Amino acid sequence: MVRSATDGADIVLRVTGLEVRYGVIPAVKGVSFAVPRGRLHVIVGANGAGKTTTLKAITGLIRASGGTVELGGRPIHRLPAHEIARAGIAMVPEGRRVFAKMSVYENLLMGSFAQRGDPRLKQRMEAVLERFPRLRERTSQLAGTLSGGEQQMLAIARGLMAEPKLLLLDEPSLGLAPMLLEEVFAIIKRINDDGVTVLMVEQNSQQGLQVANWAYVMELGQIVVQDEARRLLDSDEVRRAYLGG
Amino acid sequence: MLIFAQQVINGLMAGSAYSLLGLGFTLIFGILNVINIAHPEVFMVGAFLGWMLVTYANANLLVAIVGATIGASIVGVLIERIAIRPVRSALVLSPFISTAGVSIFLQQGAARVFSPEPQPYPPSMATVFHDVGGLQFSTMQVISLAVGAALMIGLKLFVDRTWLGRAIRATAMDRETASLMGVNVNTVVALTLVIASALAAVAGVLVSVAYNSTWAFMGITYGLKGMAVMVVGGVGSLEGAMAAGLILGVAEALTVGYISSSYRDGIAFIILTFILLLRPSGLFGQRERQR
Amino acid sequence: MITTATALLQVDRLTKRFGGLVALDRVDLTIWPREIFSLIGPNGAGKTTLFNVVAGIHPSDGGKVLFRDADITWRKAHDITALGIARTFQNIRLVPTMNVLENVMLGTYSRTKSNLADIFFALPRDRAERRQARERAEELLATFGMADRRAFMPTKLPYGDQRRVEIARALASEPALLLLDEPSAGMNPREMSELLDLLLQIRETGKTIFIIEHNMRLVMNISDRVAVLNFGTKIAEGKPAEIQTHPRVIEAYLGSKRN
Repeated sequence: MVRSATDGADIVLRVTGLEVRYGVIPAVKGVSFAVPRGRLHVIVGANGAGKTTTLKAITGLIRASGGTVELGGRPIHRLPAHEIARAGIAMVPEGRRVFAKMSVYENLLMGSFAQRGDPRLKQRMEAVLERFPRLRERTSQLAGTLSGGEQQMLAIARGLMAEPKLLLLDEPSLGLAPMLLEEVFAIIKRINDDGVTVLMVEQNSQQGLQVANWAYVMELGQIVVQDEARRLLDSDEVRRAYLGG
Repeated sequence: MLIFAQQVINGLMAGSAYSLLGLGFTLIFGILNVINIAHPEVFMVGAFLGWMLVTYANANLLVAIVGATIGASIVGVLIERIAIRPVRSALVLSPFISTAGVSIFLQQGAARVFSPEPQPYPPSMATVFHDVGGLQFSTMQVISLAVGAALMIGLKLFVDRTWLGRAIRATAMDRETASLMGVNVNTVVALTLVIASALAAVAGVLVSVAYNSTWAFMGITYGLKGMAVMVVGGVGSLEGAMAAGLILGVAEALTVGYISSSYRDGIAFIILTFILLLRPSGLFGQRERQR
Repeated sequence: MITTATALLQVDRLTKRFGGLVALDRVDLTIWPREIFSLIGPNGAGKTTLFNVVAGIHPSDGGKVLFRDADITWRKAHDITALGIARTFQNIRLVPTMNVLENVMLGTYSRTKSNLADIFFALPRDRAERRQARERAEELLATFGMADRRAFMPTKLPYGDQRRVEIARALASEPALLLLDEPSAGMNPREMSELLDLLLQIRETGKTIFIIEHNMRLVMNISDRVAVLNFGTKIAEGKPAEIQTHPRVIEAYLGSKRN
């Protein structure tokens, strides 16, 4: 029997035959996958494999040249980025990209921009600060003055402020010291345990595979292997995707 | 002492117009990373719209300002759509050239329609001077200062405290990430152009009424000063543009009062240059860190 | 002194700093004649920096570069080309206003001896050299199977062909050592296998190839030896099969596990 990530599950994100080109150069060549509700999926692969490009196409930052993206059954691949965000996808971008000259508090507010005016924002802010006590101590500090690890927490917290149907994380380990790396991945795992559906792209495959339920291995713009994440730890398939052979 | 107080009052009044123009430059630059050379022409168009409303429709000052604001905002948004957006992804200097083209077009257009001579207001708008303890000031000066101050405080509150204001700041800092938060960047750009154009139009009407002169080429000197105000205040800084505009206005007025009106611009710009020597990124500017 | 084999290129404890960042930290490499030698490593490992120091674009902050036993560490970029090292770039840099043949001819000019007067008055030496340059360029395009495209403007060609023109231009300077910076970037599988054949063919003509490459299939298929950089330090060197199973290489690429 072929194992599958999605047997009989309630699908949050479905990507079908996604293609992206930079000029004439194809970066993503017909990628298909699905993320069911409440799961944590990871895309691993070497630099240049097309992982970040895939996320950018899902969030509308790059226009796909082919294929479809559906969020809860609704096609979103023709929508502009801000409407995709409003449809319920929150992205934690590569390199954190916090709003440096805004306070931590204002950064969090920006995360819920799409739901401005919602009376429940106060409770949501409270819940997010509960999860990130280090941010609570610094709500009035400018985000640009936070440490790298704190900025990564803020970027994740900002994503949660949208109470998204799907949380995307692009290379959360990038530039973090090993100690912080553990902490950030533990937080991601906890967020998923609390019911948030997560799709993460990660070059540090060992870390990514340890927290995820299911993993896709990308190489040269295609998914070459997919399996339960645990089974891919230490696997030859992953090693080959990074180092050939 | 009396001369000093008198010139400070005169300077603040002229300076608030520089501030309003400088604020527009800095807002547009913050969002689009473009110096909109045609922005001073929005100031001129606003002045003419106000003048037409007063002259041909017998409108009062308030109606003239509101009408000018609406009309100039449309012109400002159109300039972005026609001359900035299509060339923004090309060379960095392209919008510089295309907006300069729009600027020449609007100046010459106004000169053709209204003649190249300054147009006076009808006598109904004549300024009334008051004398309080030897200080002379006109009703228009009081109105100008009050309106200018109200606009600046209002703008600061809007940008700092409201959702849309935050969206403007977020877009200025990182366009792409702002769109990931659900901000419609195109709406923010249009909103910014409307705000910048409205500020310019109000300044245009107030200046042209105060000096009883509406002129096709009035944007040139005011535009240059508005740009200087943006740079001296620190590019992207609202407080900076406000302060620098007022400093420039007061410096000019004091030069006129104590030295000679022929040295007005020269000395004022020497002071601005001196500020830049002391603070190269402007009064409130932060040195940009390379990412 | 009798030597059985002389290294073509030796990089000796090469160090390069950018501000506080150490881009290369005492890197040693030895490349033998007629070798295909690959340099790999995660992004930002210092690979292109090493090329730039070897090619004389960045000055060294420590250590030496020897080419045929001669110290070239402080030579200028154009001298190094004249000595016999040619390179291609990560992003293709062809002259868009010149056709394919003219672009390849450009590569020959480090070999010409005409002076300004010869060129200005179109004296015999210049005319002869132009003719030779043209012949040499046409010959190269023929070997590359591109003779029929010599009059095309480079931007009209598919990506893989543009790469080949760039490699032909580098070869036109008759180098002993060819530095290729990510030659397969953006190529489709067919172009990639053509590139592989082309590189083997170039090696057959007696050239040595030093290559930076992300595509592991290409690297592992054509390289005689592979060196791995990570954060500016050489962490491994050896035959492809050794590199693929080297623990430090696996950690550099796949990340370390939690304990």
